[in-house]
Amino acid sequence: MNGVLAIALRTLLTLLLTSFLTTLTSGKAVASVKEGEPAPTFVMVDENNKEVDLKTLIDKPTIIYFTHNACHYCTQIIALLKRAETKFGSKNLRIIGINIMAKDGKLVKAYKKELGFVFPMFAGNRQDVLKAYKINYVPVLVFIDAQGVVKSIVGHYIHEKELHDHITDISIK
Amino acid sequence: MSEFNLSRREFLMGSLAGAGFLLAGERVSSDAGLNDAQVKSITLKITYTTEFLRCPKDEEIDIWLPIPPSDMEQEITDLKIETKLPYRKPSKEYDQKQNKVFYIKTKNINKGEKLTLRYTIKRTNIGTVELKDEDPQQHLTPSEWEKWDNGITQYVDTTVGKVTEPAVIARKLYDGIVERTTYMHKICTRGVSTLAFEEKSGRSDDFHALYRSMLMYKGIPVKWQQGTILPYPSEMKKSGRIEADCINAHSWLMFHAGGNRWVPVDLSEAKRRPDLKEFYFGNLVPNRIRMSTGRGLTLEPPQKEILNTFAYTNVEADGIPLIYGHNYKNFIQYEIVKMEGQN
Repeated sequence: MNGVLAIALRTLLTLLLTSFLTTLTSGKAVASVKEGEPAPTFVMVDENNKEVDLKTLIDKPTIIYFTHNACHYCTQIIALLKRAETKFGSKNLRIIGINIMAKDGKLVKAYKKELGFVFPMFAGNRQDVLKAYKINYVPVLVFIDAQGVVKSIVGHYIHEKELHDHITDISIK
Repeated sequence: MSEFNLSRREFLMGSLAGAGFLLAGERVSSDAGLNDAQVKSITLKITYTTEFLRCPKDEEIDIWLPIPPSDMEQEITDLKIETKLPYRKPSKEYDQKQNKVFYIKTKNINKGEKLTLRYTIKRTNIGTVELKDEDPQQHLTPSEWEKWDNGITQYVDTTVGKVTEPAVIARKLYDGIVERTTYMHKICTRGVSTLAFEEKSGRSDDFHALYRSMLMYKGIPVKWQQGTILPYPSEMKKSGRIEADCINAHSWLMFHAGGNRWVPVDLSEAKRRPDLKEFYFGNLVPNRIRMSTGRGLTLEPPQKEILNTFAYTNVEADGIPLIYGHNYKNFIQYEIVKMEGQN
């Protein structure tokens, strides 16, 4: 009986150790995006292939905007975001673009140049990012408050007034 | 030419009234209106146009224009390309493949420059197809968007049970996906099976990526068909124009039911049109044009970026995809030549 107990304890310890080591080697699992919870963040590459930790950018009310080159409506939303940045001011609002077609900075650079905007955009053709934000389609806008908490997610074309309402909502202190 | 709605009466009396289209076969509509399920074939004159709005200067522009193929379901005639740009016809080797393109390499495209493809298509609903030369095994490899995870395999195992007959498996999964998935409008989807399963929502690419992953998991070959969908016959005007963008792109599938039999299915349209749910397991309303088969295609010559689906013109500047709606737009203009009812 003691022998059986010893084997059971050894097995349990092995399982616990394996689980601990797996956590250490794989890092913390990234949670999926959810309203009311902190926004998932990643280290991503910009148009110059420079690595940037998104966590460092979410220091004020922030919109993360997912788009790609084949989406007609998405281009129109870029125009609305440019206007919102002017209206609300870059001190009060951060806009982060993520192009889900881009694997590196080259496509991002061309996209920014063509559409003429200056807010940061990152290469988002990555399974971890797409899975965490559940991006099966575009456009998707994620509205995040200054504390880094997701307030709302909009997964369709947005009108300017609705966009401004969401920005006002994340700006409330 | 002025546009008008093709009413039930006009549809039925078209040939007699000399309105430019003919009705063959028996009565195709009920008193409530034209029955889309009873339209056997539609013949249309198509003008497909890509218009360049602005193009990056001094960069190499590569353009791939899909050519709709002729097969048992659609017959393409009088195909013509009109453009000032230098184009290359498909090579003989490439011509034998399922997908064909006109290819153009150029620089400095002027604003307003157009590429126009004109053809006549007779699209027929023939239901299950017998294909003797088709090797089913080539349609058992999922694209990068059609993987199956534990959630999908558990769902399939539970739904299908011990059934082994491909058509029965396919029907159970068809019913399950149509039931559990919400149709979404006005978005551009990626067609990723795992996300479609988790989110229980999507458009045609999502319904079909999920269905394809499930059938492949069960070892049933299934072909991805990519193209566009026009208004239903009951809503179709004598002529009309749609924008050929991601919203109007459409996919459907054909699964291998054993022997040489391939069965067409359209789950997203079954969701949108519950009255046609039975019909869409084994039939397709002929208000569609197939442009290519498969996903993640490598074109000729190869494009630089991964191509999720190939329904419309693909354009790259120095190897980077141009931005749809900003750099260029596509349109499809159709004109009804003839509609036929089921005999």
